[in-house]
Amino acid sequence: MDLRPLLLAALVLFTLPAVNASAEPGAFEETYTLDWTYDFGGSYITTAPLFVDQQLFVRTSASWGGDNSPALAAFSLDGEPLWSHTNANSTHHDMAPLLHVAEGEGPCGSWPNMLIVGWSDGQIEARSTDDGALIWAHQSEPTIWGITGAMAVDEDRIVAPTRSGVVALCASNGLLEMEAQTGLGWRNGVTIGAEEYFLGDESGLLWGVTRDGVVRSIDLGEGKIRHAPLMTTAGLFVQVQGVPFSTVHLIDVDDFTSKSTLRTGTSPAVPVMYDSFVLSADSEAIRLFSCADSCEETSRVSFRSNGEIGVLGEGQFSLPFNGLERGWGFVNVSSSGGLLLEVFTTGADGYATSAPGSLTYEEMTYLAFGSDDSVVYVYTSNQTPAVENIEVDQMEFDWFVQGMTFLLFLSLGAAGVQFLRNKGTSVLRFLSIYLLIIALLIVDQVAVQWSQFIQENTSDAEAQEAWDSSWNESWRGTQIVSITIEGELHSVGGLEGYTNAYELTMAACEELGLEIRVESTSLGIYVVAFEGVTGEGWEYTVDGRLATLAADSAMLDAASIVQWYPVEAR
Amino acid sequence: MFRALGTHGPELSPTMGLVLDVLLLGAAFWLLAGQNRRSVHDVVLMATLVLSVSLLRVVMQPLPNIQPVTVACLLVGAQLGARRGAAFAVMVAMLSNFFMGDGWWTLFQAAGWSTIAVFGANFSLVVDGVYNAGRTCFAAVVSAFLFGIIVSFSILDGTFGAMDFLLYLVNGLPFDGLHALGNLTFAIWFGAWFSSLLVRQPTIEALEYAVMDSHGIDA
Repeated sequence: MDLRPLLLAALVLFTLPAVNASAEPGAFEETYTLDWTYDFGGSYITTAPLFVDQQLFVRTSASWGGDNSPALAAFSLDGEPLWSHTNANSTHHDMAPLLHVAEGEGPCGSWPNMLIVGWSDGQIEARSTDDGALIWAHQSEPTIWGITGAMAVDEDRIVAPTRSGVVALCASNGLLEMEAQTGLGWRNGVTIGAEEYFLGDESGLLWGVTRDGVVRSIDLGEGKIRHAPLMTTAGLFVQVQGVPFSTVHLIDVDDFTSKSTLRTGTSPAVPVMYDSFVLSADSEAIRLFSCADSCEETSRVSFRSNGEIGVLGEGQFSLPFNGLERGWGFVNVSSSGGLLLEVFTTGADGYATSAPGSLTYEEMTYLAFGSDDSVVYVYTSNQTPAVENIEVDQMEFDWFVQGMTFLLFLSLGAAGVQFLRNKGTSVLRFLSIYLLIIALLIVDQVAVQWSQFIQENTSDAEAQEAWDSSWNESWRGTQIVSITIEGELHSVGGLEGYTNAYELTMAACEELGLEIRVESTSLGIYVVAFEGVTGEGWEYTVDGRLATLAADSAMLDAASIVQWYPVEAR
Repeated sequence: MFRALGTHGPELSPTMGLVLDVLLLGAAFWLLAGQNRRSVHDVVLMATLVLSVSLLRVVMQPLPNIQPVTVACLLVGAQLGARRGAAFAVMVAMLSNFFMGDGWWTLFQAAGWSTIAVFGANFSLVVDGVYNAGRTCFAAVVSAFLFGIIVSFSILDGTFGAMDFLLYLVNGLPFDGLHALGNLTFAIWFGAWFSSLLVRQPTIEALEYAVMDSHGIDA
């Protein structure tokens, strides 16, 4: 009996991707209707709108090229503006989430219902939710940036990650009760532990700070910690953002050691906890980790999200897609622990990083979405959302990856069959397909690693004098960026603490008020245009040497000079 | 990231682009021209080859540096000779870049593939009508790196030092390696078949002449 057809059929069955039937599309559109919008005009909304009682609070951020001051605004549930406050001194992106503190009292006094707002100029403010009146303020020391991470409440203390440390302020009057120096941080939220406060920094250090300011740290390796660590029963969950992958560390808080690590994708989002699970996302996927005794990835679904993740309810989340292709994702954790994803659009689509705000009030559910187009969109539904009620696509089907995987199995299986038949030439044929597919799948990452290796081993080989005599002498020894746009040189120096060319360039554009447009590719982030000028493309040098890596992969030192110019100007 | 890795050389004005196209087309015709009159079969064969390989290149564009043209140039050079191989290379570069983007780099791609066609013609891939698979596979791998070097010359514009150029070449090695692997796969799968397509078929007139000549001798 010829078993070959049977073998082939078995191989095909074995390699068929596990796809469950997808449900009706458009569940969001069927459930929610757009109730009202508000246009802030030329600002970004980079952190989640916040519902408190029957009010919606939205904070906006300075934008590339926009001239609107960052604002904090309050609205009624039907969209009526109640009050607003602007901070003209905050000129960088304001991305510290709003923190609501219910009225209370403690050893340091009593306080009313208030919002805590951290600004990029280093100001921490407590404002009344009723009318926005200032209750107290504390000025922390900014280093270009000020407050960018999530703050937290520790009984009668407001704990805030500053640019270079952490402060604990009395909730009643804002008086400084504790201040500790840590590393330079960005978007590095703070977590309240049983004995300590935990936060990370841009150098991959995780810090533990006791309530009276005693500091300890652990080096988690090259990378950046850009979220508030999550206190799971298995240990402290910390993501270290790296290139070309990120690493999740599970930290034993007693001896402050890393118990285990997991590899994830690039540019991870701010993870959130749900029972003993952690939901995270990155440029590749949304991932669910089970962290009861130890952390392990239990489910994933293809998506790209690099900002906040909104918790809508029990096992129900929403997060923005970072790109133009898809809008937002609803994620449900199924009873079996799988991730269920529905993709939908809201109007606030495209490169969003803020999570939606949510509220359920008098059998109405409110969802507020914001993005870089500075408009807040509020949707309502009279159906109380439940996990089972939202119909979703179980898994995003990636035809390319699934097709490649199928071909991989097929070619390897065929090579095996041919080997058994002693057909040497045919074995080579199928193996060549197998190797080619593998090469296609890994070539981007290999190229990035290869270029990094070359850069590391030739960093001083051909460096040219990059210093421009027109620059301010005080810039020597600091990070400098120059951008030549249509023959005009734009330079800024005195920058420090940036670890890659992309971040430094973004900060420089912010300082110079230049608009920058980038695109993310599998090889990294490319600059598409400065001030709308695309030309034939943009290239850059680091310390006078033409860069061979994507800007976000080009590591810098404390005195690096990055120079951008259009290709045709070389 | 700088885009020069994918942008070979200066942007051409419409006039310069036209001049470049005329030069390339002229080179192709010069290479094809000869004292012997081409048969209709030859012309149709060449046109079909150019069209189909160009189409294949355009279709395979999403796969990074998978270049079916390279192996085709090798084998056309081996079977039809260096001149026709080079003409084939120039025409495929021009036609496919008409869809994929024309520019300064077309010149270097045409030069690269022409060199490979010449290489194929002189590397004994087909000896006495017998196709040598081993040599073809070896030549296919070598051709990828040869093509990579020639095309990289397009980036030289006077501002690149020798070390910069060397680093540029070294940085591109992973993609050259992918090109080589793709060539190897094409050669293993389609080399013998494609080579057999190109075997010179005698014309009807030549057959008749041979028969008559033979009978004449017999008589």
